[in-house]
Amino acid sequence: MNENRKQLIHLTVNGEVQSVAVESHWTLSRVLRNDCGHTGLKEACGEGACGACTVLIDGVAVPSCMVLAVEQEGKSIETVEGLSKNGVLHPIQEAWLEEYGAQCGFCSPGMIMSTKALLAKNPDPTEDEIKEALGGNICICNNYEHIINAVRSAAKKMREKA
Amino acid sequence: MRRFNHFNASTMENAVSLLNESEGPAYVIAGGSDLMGCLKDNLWIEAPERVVNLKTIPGLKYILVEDGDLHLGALATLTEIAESDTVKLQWPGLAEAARRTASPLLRNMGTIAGNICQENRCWYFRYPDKIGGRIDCVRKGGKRCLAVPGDHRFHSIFGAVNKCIAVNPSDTAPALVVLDATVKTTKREIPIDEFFTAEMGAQSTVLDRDEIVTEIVVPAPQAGPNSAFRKIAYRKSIDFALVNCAAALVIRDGKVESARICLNAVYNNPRRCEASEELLKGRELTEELAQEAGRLAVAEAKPLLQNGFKVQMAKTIVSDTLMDCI
Amino acid sequence: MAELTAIGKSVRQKDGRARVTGEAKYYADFILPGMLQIRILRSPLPAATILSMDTAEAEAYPGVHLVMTHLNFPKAFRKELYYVGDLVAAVVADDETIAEEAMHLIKVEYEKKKPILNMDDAMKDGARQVFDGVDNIQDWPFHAFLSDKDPETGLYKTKTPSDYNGFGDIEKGFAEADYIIEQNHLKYAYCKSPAMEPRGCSADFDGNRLQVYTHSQGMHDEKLCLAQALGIPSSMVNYNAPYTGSSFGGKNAFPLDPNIASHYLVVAGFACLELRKPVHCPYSREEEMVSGWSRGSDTYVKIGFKKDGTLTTMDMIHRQETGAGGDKYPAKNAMLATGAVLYSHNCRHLRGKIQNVNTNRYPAAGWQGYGAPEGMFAVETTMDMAAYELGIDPVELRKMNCMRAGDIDAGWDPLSYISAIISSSGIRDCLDAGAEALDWKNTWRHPSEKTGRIRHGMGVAIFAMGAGRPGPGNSSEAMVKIYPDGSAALVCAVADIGQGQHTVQCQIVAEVLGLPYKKVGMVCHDTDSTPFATLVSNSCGTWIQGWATYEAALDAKQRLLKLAAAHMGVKAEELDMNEKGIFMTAAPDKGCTFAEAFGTRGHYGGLHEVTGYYVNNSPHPHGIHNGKPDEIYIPKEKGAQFISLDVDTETGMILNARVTMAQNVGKALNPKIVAGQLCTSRHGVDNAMLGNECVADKRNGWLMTANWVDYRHCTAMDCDVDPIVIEKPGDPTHPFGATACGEGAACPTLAAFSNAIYNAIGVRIIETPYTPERILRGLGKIEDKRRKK
Repeated sequence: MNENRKQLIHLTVNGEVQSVAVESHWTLSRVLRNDCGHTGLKEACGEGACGACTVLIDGVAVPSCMVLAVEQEGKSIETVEGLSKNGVLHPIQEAWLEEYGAQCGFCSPGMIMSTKALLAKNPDPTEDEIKEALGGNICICNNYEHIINAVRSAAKKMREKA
Repeated sequence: MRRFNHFNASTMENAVSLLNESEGPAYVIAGGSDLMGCLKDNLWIEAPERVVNLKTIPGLKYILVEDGDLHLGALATLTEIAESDTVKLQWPGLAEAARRTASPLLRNMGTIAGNICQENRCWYFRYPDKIGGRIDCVRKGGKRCLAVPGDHRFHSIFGAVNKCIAVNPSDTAPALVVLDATVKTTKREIPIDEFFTAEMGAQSTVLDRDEIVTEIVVPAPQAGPNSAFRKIAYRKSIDFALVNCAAALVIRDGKVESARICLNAVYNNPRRCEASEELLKGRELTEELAQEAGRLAVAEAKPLLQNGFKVQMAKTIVSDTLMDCI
Repeated sequence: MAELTAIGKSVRQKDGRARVTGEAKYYADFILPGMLQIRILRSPLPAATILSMDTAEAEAYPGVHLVMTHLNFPKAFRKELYYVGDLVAAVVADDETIAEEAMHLIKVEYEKKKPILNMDDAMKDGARQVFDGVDNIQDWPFHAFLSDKDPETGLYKTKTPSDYNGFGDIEKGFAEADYIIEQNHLKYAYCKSPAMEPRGCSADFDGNRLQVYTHSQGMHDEKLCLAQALGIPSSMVNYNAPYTGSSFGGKNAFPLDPNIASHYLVVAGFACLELRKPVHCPYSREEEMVSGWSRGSDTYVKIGFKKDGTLTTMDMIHRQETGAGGDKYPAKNAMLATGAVLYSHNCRHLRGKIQNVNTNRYPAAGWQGYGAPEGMFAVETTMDMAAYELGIDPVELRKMNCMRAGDIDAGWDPLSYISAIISSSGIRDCLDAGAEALDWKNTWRHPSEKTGRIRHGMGVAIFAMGAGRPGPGNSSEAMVKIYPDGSAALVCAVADIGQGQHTVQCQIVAEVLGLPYKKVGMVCHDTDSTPFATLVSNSCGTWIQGWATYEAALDAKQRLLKLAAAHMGVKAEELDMNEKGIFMTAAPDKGCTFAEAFGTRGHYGGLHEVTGYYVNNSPHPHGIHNGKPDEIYIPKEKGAQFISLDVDTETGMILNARVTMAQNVGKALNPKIVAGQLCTSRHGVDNAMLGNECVADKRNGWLMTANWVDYRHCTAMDCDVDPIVIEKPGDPTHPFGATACGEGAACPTLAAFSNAIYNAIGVRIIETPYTPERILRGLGKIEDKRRKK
């Protein structure tokens, strides 16, 4: 019965095209987690006020719990799982490990994706710019000092690489 | 979240017919940051039967200047407006209002049209159905406002509209009001001063149920970019305003020729401070005059038991915002 | 001890890689094939009795497998409802939408009762009892008077049940005091004990074993309770809790107590056993928000001083809200702020009465500091008033009177000991370090000297918090395995809820075995594979689990050295080990490889691992004084916090808040982890300046702020924290001299904030949160234009 309500959509998730049947009221976070196997993204507040579910849609950071999956036809979506390639960590992830950016880790997938969006736009952000860019991501462990250091260090790594 | 039927609109006309064809309540979705919250909390008495997506309509996501006027497509996001060099330069009050709205993530999805059409944030109106069921407050057709005898610390300091004391929470609304914008819809052009109305029940604007904002036009500043926006909120991000304020001045020869000042989050609709505007006319703006304008702005205030602090805040923010304009 | 190789280094988080790649599996990430979804119908009323229920329509709804109510699952649901959001029924269905739709088809008839929605109403004469037959106000059941002080050690030898905690002669103390400072109704608002990951669980039953997937602060404790609650043998249950998306005490589950918010376990457990299908029971943020509140106190404090500022006498009455039941134990920790611990150095007369108060608000849970922040808030604001009144610098007054090493802990925990010797302090060092960081001596000004619209203020408060609880029930075990390839595994159940225990415990193993940290693995996934560990509470992980880990590693090492000794034909005592293998201490070039020590390997013959094991039945032998079991050492979390802020006197807003948090941790096993722990001071900042409090509609009991838009937590933009880690060596109670770190940071914040606001504007606010409303009212800036009804 439920199958009738579903609609097939095509997403490119971390570079891989996926076809998935979704109901119209399903959020992107629900579909990515339950139907696409991307449990790396977390859902914490369910209303866009914490950023744990942050993904990039066509390069733009948004809370995926506030986005309808059915509206993402043809979009390119990046989740935290797409960052490391063949077991090699992305510089942001490396920086997160070095600077102890994760405590409980529940905010990290979202925080890291917001950082990726920031550094794509602004490769050398000031401390205030970092804080502002992460203004939609809550870390309830209050690990912001380490997180800001991690973003700074990631920016440096990425600039050196480029 | 309840089920609903979802449609992608191809044109504005198509979107309007999709709304009209709906048997039950129908809503349009653009950024969705407000609508999704309402859907998730299941806060309406009648669950929406359909949701019509505007993001599939081409050509609505633009920020353009034509003949000096600013044209904002309905799908222009708050991030785009906040980061636009033109807007920052010519209409700083609007850029700042967009920058101070919600959080970077929500600004990435939220549109300017959605921001001025959003529902209020009254705790009773927004009460989720997950912890004991929806509250049918006066705005939703209930008999009385529950905030008046209940908790109204963040509610109106200028009285009720149809018994409701919720406030308009938009940050961009007061900026557009002072910049004398025009809201273009699928049916008409509405001067911003006539756009907001809490008189019509659950919604916060004069829009008909099958009417959709297509564009917002902001006229060129008359004498210089003398506009500003301020917001008082607990947090520097995410939060709605306790009080916000925008002001735009036309200053010639060191004197205020005309002024528009608007407070928000203090009343059901954005509230022009007309007495303060009159006061400034023809005078040089000084700290003292700005403070007097602040006092005038709240002269009519009727705070409730818990929200007297907002009067003091409103008074202060008016004078601070005025000083930011020069 | 030789130079440390793993301890004291900011090595990478043990499971950090999984956390930053998204591979870490938190409970909700176990998505099992055919998993059914559970949704819970919750009470719209704060106090009611269910008269009747009709679930027929919901049961008949396509896709519904089970509807659970108090009628068919009396152990999971109650007929009596005690708060808005209390559990009424649950629907188990194919997916979450069907469950939600069916949930709305359940018809319930309620009989309303008059709700009690604040502490004042609960305490009124003749108030309706929240729980029938239970007084709304309950005295702490273990109040005790201490006497018979040993002149040599200072320890009390006699404990007599009493109607308050204390020692000395309170009347005499005040009679002899030169100054008496008294404050009543110091109120710390009832606040949500937060966590990033909302609570919930999944369960799967194969007819033999019940697999439970959840978050945890102590999986063995929780498993035993759950099995008992479900009425099945503990051996049937395996509790999987590999990752926990933070918990600061609030998510501690105790499924045996229907007032503690761990119902998801019982509901999912019964549903799974009944249906024999995997089930998922997640709480939405809104449901999380009505589960597990904390703080909520109303305190009276009276302190007596000598002319020179010596604190001699203290009196306290501390009442703490427990909402609709829940955790009653935090209240006792208010005693930590008194002459029992924090001001034990000079205090000679003490009386402290602890009470819990029930209301029809949301059930209480633990939270970072577990009662200590409330006590510190009350005492440390009162101490600040004293400093101004006595004309003594607030830092100096505290330095004179705060606890020092060797002072006597007079009973924060009268269950396990009479009194104990405080093994280290360092509060004075922390005060000095914080004051220096802020240039306190040169920049501190009296509020009377402040002018202008924006006024700067600085405030200070000190704290002491538990650090493990020696005594019955607080044991932890560890197994350490060494493998023939020279790697090692620590097998234990200590929960890493974000505080870094997995990392730190592996550092301890690496240090003892002389192995690189990278070669030490952690096995801590579920209860089947691990020995018992007590829950991580009271910041005890480094202390209680730490000893077990340390001793188990030593045990494993001894066993391996014995093997090597036999192989080499020498004595084990002559040997030591490192990354390369086993060697003679006297001749490091002589030795053998790990493989050689283990013997012939392969499928036949030889040993595959050596296992060391230890049970730390705390206190560990190092935790007692002179080898006398009745002379216990107690380390504490301790330190000082400074708040610097500006107040906008026209808007009442607090601007530029900055926390300087200094804590003596004895030894920072991992400095970055410790610094991160100190930054959790922001939990206090949330409660101080972001307006956080339990706003329940005063007539209907609805929680008005059941989301993270209206209930606020600091973002990166709102407040900065400067952590100052003090390492004062010499605490005898830990193998590396570490004490504890984790909860302390949240303890002094509300007092330091109030003190800073006073310092800025001369307005003393003794009720949290410090809203612009309270600040403007204090400044006389609010005109009451309203009509009074």
